[in-house]
Amino acid sequence: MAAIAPGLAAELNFFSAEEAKWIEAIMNQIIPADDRPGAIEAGCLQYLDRQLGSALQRFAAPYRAGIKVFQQKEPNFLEMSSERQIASLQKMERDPFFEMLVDHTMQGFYGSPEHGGNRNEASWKMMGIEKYMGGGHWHGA
Amino acid sequence: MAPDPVDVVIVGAGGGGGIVAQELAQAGWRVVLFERGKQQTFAETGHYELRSQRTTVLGNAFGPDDVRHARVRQNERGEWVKVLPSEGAYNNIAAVVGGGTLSYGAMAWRYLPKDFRMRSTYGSPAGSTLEDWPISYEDLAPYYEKAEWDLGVSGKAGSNPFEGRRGKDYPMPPLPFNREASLLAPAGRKLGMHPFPIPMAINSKPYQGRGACIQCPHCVGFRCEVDAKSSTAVTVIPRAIATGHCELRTECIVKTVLTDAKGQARGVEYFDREGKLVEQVSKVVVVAASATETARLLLNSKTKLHPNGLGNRYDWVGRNLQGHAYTGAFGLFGEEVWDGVGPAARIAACDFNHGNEGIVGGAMLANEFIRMPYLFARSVRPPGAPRWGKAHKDWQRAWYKRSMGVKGPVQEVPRWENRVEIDPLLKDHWGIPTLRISGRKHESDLRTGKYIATKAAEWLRAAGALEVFLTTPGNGVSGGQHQAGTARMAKDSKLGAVDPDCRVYGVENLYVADGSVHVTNGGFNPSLTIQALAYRTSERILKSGHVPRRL
Repeated sequence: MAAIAPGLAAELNFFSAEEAKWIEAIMNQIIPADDRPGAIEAGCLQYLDRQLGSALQRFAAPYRAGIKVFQQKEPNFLEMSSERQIASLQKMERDPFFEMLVDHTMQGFYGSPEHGGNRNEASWKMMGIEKYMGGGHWHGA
Repeated sequence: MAPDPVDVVIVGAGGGGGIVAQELAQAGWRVVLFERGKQQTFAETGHYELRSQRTTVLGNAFGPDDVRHARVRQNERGEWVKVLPSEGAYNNIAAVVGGGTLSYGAMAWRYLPKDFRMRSTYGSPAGSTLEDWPISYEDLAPYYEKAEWDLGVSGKAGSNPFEGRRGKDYPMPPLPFNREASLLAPAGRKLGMHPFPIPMAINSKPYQGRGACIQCPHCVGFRCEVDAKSSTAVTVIPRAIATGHCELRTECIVKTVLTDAKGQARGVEYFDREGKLVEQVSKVVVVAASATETARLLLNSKTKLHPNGLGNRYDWVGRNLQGHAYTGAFGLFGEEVWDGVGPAARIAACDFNHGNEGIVGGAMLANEFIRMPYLFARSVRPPGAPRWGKAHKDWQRAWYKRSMGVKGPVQEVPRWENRVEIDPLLKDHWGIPTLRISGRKHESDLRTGKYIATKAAEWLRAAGALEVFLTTPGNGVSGGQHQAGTARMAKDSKLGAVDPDCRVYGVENLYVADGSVHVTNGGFNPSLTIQALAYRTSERILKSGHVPRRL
């Protein structure tokens, strides 16, 4: 399944290289790639990794603990087929760890690139609103 | 060394406090206007959805910060849990010069005449504190007019057949309709409704030296980059300061209202920017810190003569907390209805504010401000729809520009038990005891919410929606950015915290100028009503004789 991009491990501030692999694998199913970028290509991991050191720091301990619990529940997750991964995640939809990761993945995907995700405004282009978004002055569409 | 005594201290440079500062300073009074937040430029906050006044997942763009200002709330299991300012349950109001008016959507509503007479109209439902205001719409009308002209509101008099009697028209014509409004207008009329352009505290043409709205897609939740939004930060507050005797002191935290041996206000005690505790003496004190923070300050100002806090002899301060129970629907269309033209909320109807069979009150209905992408992803989906995965992503692509929402602020039936009070344990960064919040909605609100949502759905269908989904309120206590009621007006001192002039009972020279004083909260965004009251209260203060005539 998806591996983290080459050279990325060196840039991580919060996640270990191992943790990052797991987070990305789950993010890959939360917002998969199709004819448009998904969570991985859009840099949702980078968003979360950065924000866990600042605005989202109160989620740091829940992530450390949550990843461990997830690894114990589904030790073969990284090797599973996509369909089996989806089935596994559907079973734990109500899990606070998964719900938290869904929310943060969505933030990273749909928020401004200034926060670390939504690389190249991928989600805004997908929605056809890139001319309307951006963090600064309004220049007209 | 303590600063020199002044005529009046105002606590809170927001929607109400800014107006009182102008009115008193222009009358020659020496004013100190305190604000716990800062002045903020557009460049500091920009257009970042995740850090705006509407979506605060990365913190409150306009304060307060999470580190120094925690509160406590009661959760569904009855447990008291800590809550941070960037979490919804905190019931935040922006901590910035201009307060909520710096980043609000700026709908500028007059309450309807019946909104001031809810008990006379509906009786008092069991388990509620529903009551009439001690003043009428007609009493407040001249001050609504003053607010509309002094701040800058654009709208069309006579377009809403339900509104109370007006004197003058609005100073500016309404902003133009967008595509959504152009679809909803004939659809509403077909249903026998009376849709009209929403009055907004937003310039539709240049006004008082500020430019007109540039119709950008980032309105509600963001500071206006051209200051077409008629915030108190760009209207009354600069004018107050320009008199030369109104001093704005930012990043100051007022700890208590000080009272003298007779129990009358003599000033405030506050922490300055460096954290030093300072006394500011004044002849009059006006508290305008928002319904939650005003209640907190009054309750934290206990003395021997006011053992339960100021204005709280009969246990009304902090109680009667209300906001609005938002309800409505969204519809899916066969064509694009989104045109990216701001502020986007352009059309409303008051057909369901009153006169709804078997329903207490009701709500105004209006189309929505432009929805930002993350909020849309998380909150606009049919019930049971996937909340993640490919289907969720496909839905975002397919429906973002082909969906439209109609929502309304249900006028709540207030409850005694819905309250803020001082938490026995938690203190803020400055050691000041903080608030705990508790309560739940009156069951009437849930019923009204469902009823109004069906009306929203009908309107969307008439406009061509292929499918509609209701979004009805939950059970939790309200407050939020429409917070009100916690120091309610009453003619009888046993039945409220302030008198009909918004003067705190038991303290002749202490007034309140924010939503705390509302008895009920209308079926509308409350800002213009807060502001009209602030003009009226200022007039009362000037006539009070606390300070000799200066000009």
